[in-house]
Amino acid sequence: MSATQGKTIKVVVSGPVGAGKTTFIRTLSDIPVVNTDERASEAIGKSHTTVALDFGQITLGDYCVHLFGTPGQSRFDFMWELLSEGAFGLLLLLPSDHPQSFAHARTILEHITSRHALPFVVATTRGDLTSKAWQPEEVADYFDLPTAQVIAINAEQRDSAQSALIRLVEVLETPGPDERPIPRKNHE
Amino acid sequence: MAIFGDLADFSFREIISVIGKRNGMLIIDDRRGKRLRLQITREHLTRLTLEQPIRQGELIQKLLQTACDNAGTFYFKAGPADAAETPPVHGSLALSSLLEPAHATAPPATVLPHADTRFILIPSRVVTLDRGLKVFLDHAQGLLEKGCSANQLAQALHMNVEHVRGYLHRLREVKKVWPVRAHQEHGDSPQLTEQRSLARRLIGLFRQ
Amino acid sequence: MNKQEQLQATLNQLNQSIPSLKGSLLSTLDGIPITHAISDPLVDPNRVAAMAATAIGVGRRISETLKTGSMKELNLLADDGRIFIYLIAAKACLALIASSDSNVGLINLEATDASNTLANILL
Repeated sequence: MSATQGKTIKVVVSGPVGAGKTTFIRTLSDIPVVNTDERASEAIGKSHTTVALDFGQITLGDYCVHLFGTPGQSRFDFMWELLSEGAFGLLLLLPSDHPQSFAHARTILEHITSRHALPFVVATTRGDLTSKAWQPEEVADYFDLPTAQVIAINAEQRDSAQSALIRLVEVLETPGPDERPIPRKNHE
Repeated sequence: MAIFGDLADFSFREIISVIGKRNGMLIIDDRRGKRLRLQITREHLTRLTLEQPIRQGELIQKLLQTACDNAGTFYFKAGPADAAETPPVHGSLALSSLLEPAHATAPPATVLPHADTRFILIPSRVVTLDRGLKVFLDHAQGLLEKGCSANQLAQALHMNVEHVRGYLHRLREVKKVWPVRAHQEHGDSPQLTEQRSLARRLIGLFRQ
Repeated sequence: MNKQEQLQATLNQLNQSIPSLKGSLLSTLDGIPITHAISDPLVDPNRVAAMAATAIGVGRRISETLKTGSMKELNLLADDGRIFIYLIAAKACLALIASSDSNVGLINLEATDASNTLANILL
């Protein structure tokens, strides 16, 4: 199954609740975004949460990038996989000021990438809101990734949001495997 | 620079792993009055400060139980290497010597891997495991060599899937198993080649 | 009876009136189970609740986009069963899992009644 149909490319946007996935897609989309937000019955720091998907679209030259945002909670994990089907790549959004969500973000990332051969980039958000936030190279160390695969963005700002897409494309452009079974670490 | 969080979400091993080769001060606060400051220089603990008097004869290992127990926060402040110390120095301690083999307490459910995420054994990696974990690995080894998930292991070994997730998490912490990346299994497929050439065309558009 | 007990009683009653019903579940619109009457221990209520919310979420968007007004109900017909999902008072959803030989007319009648009862309890 091809990740491109003619000139359409599909990118999945996932990550823990509150990372800014819906915001990110709204910022980038050329068309009004299709949301499936419902009232949150839990205290998650906001009034609504995605229960199925967000859909947006951005045109790049001759190419149409379809952005599919997933829900963040584990109970919707069937959507992570469903939406990743046939995707060109994955953007994992991460709130850099909420390290309590990092372990869950890692679960999402590993769940998706162990089933779909997707190149991915981790985009850290909310770093513009506070200085008490993890930096991209620190997040890269947490995930055992090369620093090039982690980028800090402002999900509300178009150029910044677009830089995550650019980084994803750059990661794919680099030939050769971008991940190893054991990352280069000096400990033990 | 800000490496920080709650000890309920990160193990001491993970914290040390993220700090990596950075020099600076790791502050551990148990929110019950005790605060530990660890001066870290070139992957060594060069100075340790406790803001609460300790009873005579307590070993450093006991102090660091504050770090291993899940109730408290940590904050790492990067700073210059302690100029006077060049490791290994008399009076300093290699951080790696403080890391225990994968311990017996259960990690919180939020950090456990997904039951369908597949893991593969890293055969070359030598690790020390406690007895329970070693027994599990002996039984699971064959399946893990090919790559399998907690659900698959639970079925094959007639075990509770939550226990299996816990074991896989602990094995992952010591890097004896690692999540399988789908494209490592499928190699350079025609799709991947097509995607790479597409990527090159897109890069051109972005750079205009 | 408190609200929880009333809701449970309504679902139990529903299960009793429809013999082919394998289970019923009431969940929030963001996928958290409120109460359920599912006899099969292999069916995870958390999973059903999340999927019902996802289905309703998608259904609502489709109905809005195609201008068919406010969505009320979704039916899923499969080889080995049927699933009905009803929107309750715009704040919850009721999912019914039935066998393939169910009497759809009866289910619709009973479900409508149950929906009204549940809506009144929740309001």
